[in-house]
Amino acid sequence: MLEGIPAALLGVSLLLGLMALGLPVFIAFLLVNLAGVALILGPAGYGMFINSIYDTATTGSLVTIPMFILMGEILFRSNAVEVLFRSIDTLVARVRGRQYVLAVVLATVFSTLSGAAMGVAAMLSRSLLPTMIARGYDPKLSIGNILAGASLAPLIPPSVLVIIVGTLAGVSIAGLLVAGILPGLMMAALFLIYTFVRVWRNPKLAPVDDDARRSPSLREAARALFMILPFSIVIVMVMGLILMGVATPTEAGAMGVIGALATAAIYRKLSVRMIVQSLQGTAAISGMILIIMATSRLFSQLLAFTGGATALTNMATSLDLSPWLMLLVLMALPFILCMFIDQIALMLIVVPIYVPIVAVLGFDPLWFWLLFLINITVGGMTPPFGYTLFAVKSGWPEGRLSTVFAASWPFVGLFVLGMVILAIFPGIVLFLPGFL
Amino acid sequence: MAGISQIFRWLFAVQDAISRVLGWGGAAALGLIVVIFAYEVSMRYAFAAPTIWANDFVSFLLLVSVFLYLPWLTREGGNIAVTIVPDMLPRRVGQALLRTGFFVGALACLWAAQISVVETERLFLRNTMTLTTVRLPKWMFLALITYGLGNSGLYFLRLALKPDAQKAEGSHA
Repeated sequence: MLEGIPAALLGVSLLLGLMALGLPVFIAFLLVNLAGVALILGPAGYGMFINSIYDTATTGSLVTIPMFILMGEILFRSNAVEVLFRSIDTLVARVRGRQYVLAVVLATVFSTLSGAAMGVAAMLSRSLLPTMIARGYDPKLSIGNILAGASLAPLIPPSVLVIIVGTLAGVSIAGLLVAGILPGLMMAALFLIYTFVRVWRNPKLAPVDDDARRSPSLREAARALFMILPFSIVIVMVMGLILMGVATPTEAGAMGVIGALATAAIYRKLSVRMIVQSLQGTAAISGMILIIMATSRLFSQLLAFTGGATALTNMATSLDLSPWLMLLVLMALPFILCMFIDQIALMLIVVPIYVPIVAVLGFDPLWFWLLFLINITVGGMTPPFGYTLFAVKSGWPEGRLSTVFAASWPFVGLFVLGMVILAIFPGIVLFLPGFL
Repeated sequence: MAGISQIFRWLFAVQDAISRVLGWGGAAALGLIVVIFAYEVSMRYAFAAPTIWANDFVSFLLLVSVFLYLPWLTREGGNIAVTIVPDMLPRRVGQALLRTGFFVGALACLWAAQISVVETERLFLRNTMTLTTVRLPKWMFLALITYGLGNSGLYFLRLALKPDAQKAEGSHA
């Protein structure tokens, strides 16, 4: 029987190979785990296999996933996003290149609510992008802002990826959720600064007629602010209750659903039909995530059985690299893999291997896993294989893939710059969790 | 021959009806989680009387939701898959690859379901209870896992034999 690193490499290669062939991700895990149990433990291990599915599917912290998704589904169907679009459009009226701001904000809000950066990138490149190009906005800068905004989702609460990484790595989910706020805002600021500097240096990148739009009156601005006020109910219900220590992240997720229902009622969109549709949509999305988690749990246990995890930890620590170089190595692998495979699948493979290594290296878990989260989203928008790029191209059939690739590079660079800043100044990540 | 195809159509319709109704049950379980948590938080803070059962029940409901909805998800081709390679291949080859994937999926799910049946029977005979504050027979939950995996296996088989596999190639998250 294979042991140690060869066993781990064989398992990971098999998984990646099966996924690459187009097999549903949960089937790839199911097959590798069933074959692994049969080979390593024999039929006596089958009970352990089923119990690993039972244990994962009844993990309390994972209840947060459907709660966050349900919150997003209700807000999506309650006209809230359209209200947000109009309000932000009013508030940023006079700024030259305001639709770039809209692109970043909408991409972030949509992907945070839906949890699918790829779907949002495709949707906005089908709806917002043609409008922006028709108005005279630069296609590359527009695409870059859409890609970057959509890729911010894992950082902004409510983030489903945070729940997954927190559960897998045994890190405080409340801490991780709160830790993402300042880095998320910092990243968004980086994108906007970059965009406005580009527009300032080359005014042709934003249309002139946009500049002529009048500033909103005080009444219009107040109305725009008032219209987005119901969103604060959801924010208070989720982040407020966590920060005040009133509710656990899971309970806060459920309270956020109540807040989303209240928001829908304020916008006069609350109906039984809408609730039923939201529940069904949530059952589908959370089901596809949770079945992967349930069937993958045994993989990390098999890694431990074969000694693969220990051997990889020993190998990593025996490399005797400086902590910074180790951080670079640990980030490089998921960055490259995320160009090819789904983020959740990648986390389920990599996180169990990384957990002991991170502990041995003495990295702050909140800081490390937040950098990891940013890293895997950047992989999804990096040419030539980042799959969010293909989503943009599919939503923009008249455009060229080379334009999409060229559009993404500056924003990949900005993400990397942001990660370097967060690596050097961990306080940006750890400041807010310090209040918990 | 026409009689056999008629029987299969009827069987498929029955399978779809069962999966649809139980899928609704899976979605309703999520609604119940919201209600239970809202009750728990308000009881704890408004009345200083936290329940002892809320956390256990929502955990069970999560399992109920996942495995009741899974067959319908599979029927709709909703499972996450990375279809870059099949998409890049010529259409006929890509289709063949997807069909093979569905067939492999059927085998994996049915194998897992068979293991689950054995484990469910063992727990039933031993009357094993869950290790939670509120104790329930554990076999009930394993029976749901068996249903979810077994019925999904049958749907994968249907997808493998479907004329146009492209329609159900899975979603790419």
